[in-house]
Amino acid sequence: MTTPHLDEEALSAALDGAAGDAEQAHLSSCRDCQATMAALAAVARAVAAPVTPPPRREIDAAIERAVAASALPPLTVTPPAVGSPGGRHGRARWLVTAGAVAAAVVLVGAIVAGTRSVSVHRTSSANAPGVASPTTTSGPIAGADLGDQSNSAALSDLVLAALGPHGPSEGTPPPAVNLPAAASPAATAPAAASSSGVSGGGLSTASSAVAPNALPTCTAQARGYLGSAAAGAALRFSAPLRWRGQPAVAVVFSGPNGLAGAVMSSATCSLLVVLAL
Amino acid sequence: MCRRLTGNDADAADATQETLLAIVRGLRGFDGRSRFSTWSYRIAVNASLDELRRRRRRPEPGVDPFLDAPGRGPMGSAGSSLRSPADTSDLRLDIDAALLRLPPDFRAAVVLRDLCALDYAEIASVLDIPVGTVRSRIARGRSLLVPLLAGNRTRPAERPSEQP
Repeated sequence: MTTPHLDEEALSAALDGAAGDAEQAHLSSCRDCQATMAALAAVARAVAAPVTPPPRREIDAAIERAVAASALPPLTVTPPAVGSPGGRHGRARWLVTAGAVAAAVVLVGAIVAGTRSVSVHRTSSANAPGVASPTTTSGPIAGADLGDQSNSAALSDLVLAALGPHGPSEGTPPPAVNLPAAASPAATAPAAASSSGVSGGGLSTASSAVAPNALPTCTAQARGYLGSAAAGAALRFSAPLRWRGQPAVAVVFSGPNGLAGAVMSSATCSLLVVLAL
Repeated sequence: MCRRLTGNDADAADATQETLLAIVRGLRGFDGRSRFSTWSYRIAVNASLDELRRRRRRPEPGVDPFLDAPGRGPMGSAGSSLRSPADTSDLRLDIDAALLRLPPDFRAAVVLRDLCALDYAEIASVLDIPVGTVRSRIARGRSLLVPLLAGNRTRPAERPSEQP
């Protein structure tokens, strides 16, 4: 006389308390089935184990791997190739490029400052420890194109890198982040304008550039989405990008609660992702 | 749950964010025919699986250290056994790597049962499948996880079919 073993479905159901009387009777007397059910129970316990945050070292290594795997070059200020190919005569060319970048920032800053809905709060209470004060005479920083992004953690790191360890200091030109000259509209705008005679040509040709009239609307919308995190905070940084293929703008506020940022759709000004800053 | 379904923190954070946004956007349209928790779980499962689909379309950064390490890995390390949940980091990698080897449908059913402690009827409602399918997916998923998490442990199908 033999008794058939329970199949995996019956054992799994027994583990969940859904076995019938006959199955329970077999289980109570069959060591093989008990052993198999114990293995299934161990699996269930393992899946139910709480997820623990990885060590900081693991996070740093993962970020480095992600940066290495992406198409972006290392985080350096890369002077765009101007004039003859090669670009080896660093200092003079770098100065020209820095001037071009600064001019682009002034241009974008002027556009932003000309809009009414972007308000830079100038209260001393907006100073957070370790964060550069937004109460300066300079407007928000217009960053270079952040490229095509799809991961909020990587994008947050990119934005933080653009802001620097304590945010951009007063009077410091905005960093040209991570991109070759051809992909950076802010860096190429003055050169394009000067060579073609079309003002702002570099900005308008970039697929992810933000329309000047979209930024204030998107900024206001972002404030609404971020709520208390952006309450009393000044717009500190904005930069165009493509979020999972669609044109977008990243905005970062700096205020009493520290930094808060979001990525908004350039087309609809709807929230795409909240940055972890 | 998003963490277990996606297998990594970044994708889980994105999926969680998508879930919360979808809940806020869809709250007005929630008709109350299912429990709010069931509705929320359904959104979270869909967001997590969407995130996984998106991940497949973009390059993976680096090599999974779990699969790369000699003597470790879901299919290697003969004689290894299930470790205590106290072995946090390694255990986490083991479970994540093993779960990612399951078909997404099985993974969702197992996670909803073992992590979220939903009963079969609730899981059926979340995944919009019959209860019998839930039962078989959970059983199949757990059976597939046994050798992945415990080395060369005998699988249920490999046991003798009868006892004396």
